[in-house]
Amino acid sequence: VEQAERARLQAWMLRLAEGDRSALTPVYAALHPLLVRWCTRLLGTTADGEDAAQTALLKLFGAAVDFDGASDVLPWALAFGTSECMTVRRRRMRSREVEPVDRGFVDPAAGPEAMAVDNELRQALREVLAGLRANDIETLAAALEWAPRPPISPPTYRKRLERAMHRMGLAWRARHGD
Amino acid sequence: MAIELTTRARWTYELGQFRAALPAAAAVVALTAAVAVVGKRPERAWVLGALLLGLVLGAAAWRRSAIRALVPGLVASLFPLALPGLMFRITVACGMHSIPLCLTTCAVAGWLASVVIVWTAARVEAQRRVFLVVAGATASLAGAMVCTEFGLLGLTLLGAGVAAGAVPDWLRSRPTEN
Repeated sequence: VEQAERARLQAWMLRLAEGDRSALTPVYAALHPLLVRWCTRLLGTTADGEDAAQTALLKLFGAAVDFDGASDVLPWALAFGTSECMTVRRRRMRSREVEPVDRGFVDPAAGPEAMAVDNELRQALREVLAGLRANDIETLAAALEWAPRPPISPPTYRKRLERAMHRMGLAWRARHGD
Repeated sequence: MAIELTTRARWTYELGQFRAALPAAAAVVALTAAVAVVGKRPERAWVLGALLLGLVLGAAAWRRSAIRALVPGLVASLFPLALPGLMFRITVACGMHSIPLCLTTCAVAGWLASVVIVWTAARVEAQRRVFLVVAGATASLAGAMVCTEFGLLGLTLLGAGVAAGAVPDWLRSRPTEN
């Protein structure tokens, strides 16, 4: 972004923060393509980048009243984009990690009490899995036949599973005790 | 799509403005409830509280300087809320002999409120006149919940007290700061 354009954007943002609604359109026009480019670069795909940029932009406008002009508008705006991209990445990772857990362990016909216990168990397992390494989750998911087995020799897989079980046990005890 | 997003951005912007005014709105509700419980004419307190809430919403829909003036205005209003209220209790309900004293208290409390407002406004760089007007109106309306006990003259003297302190500073502030 050129220096003159940056100065203009800073002035518009200050006007918007002060309550001048007419500055909303130029601020939007300047920041939208910038955030889309930024988020696309961070997330790797245009579709995800567009979505994250839109959410970031909405959050930015919601917080416009807090912009005091002491900071530069560009890093301030990009911080919204970065934060949103990190949320998308975390969400992606979590959905990959805990998807099988969402299937549940008991039949819904077992009654509300059993379902409640099931929900609690799944939540506890979800928390423990979230703290494990991706490699361990893959190994455990394969052992439960929720995911395909990694292309490694059976002895290596056994050792890996043993280590993953050990680490999951430690994580479970750290969170929920013996 | 872009138009829809601009509209949503506008909405989140407005919500952000109202969010910024939320602490003041909460304080107004608490203050009104307190005066309604302690005071002798709760219905007047509720009417004035509703007007004050309207002022808070108006400030939120207007500009940031107006929003930022709300809390200092409410803090300043503690003088016209406390002093005449105290006087009302210690001078046997401001009977015939103590009416002038009670009325003077409203004026003095209004002036003290304006001193707090002007002192706070000294640190406001932009839109100082907006700040003075909104903070003055807030303190006057909040103080009126108690000074209304002394009739129209009580309200007039309260307003005069606030104006006596705030108007000279308003005149000193350059219009270009607006």
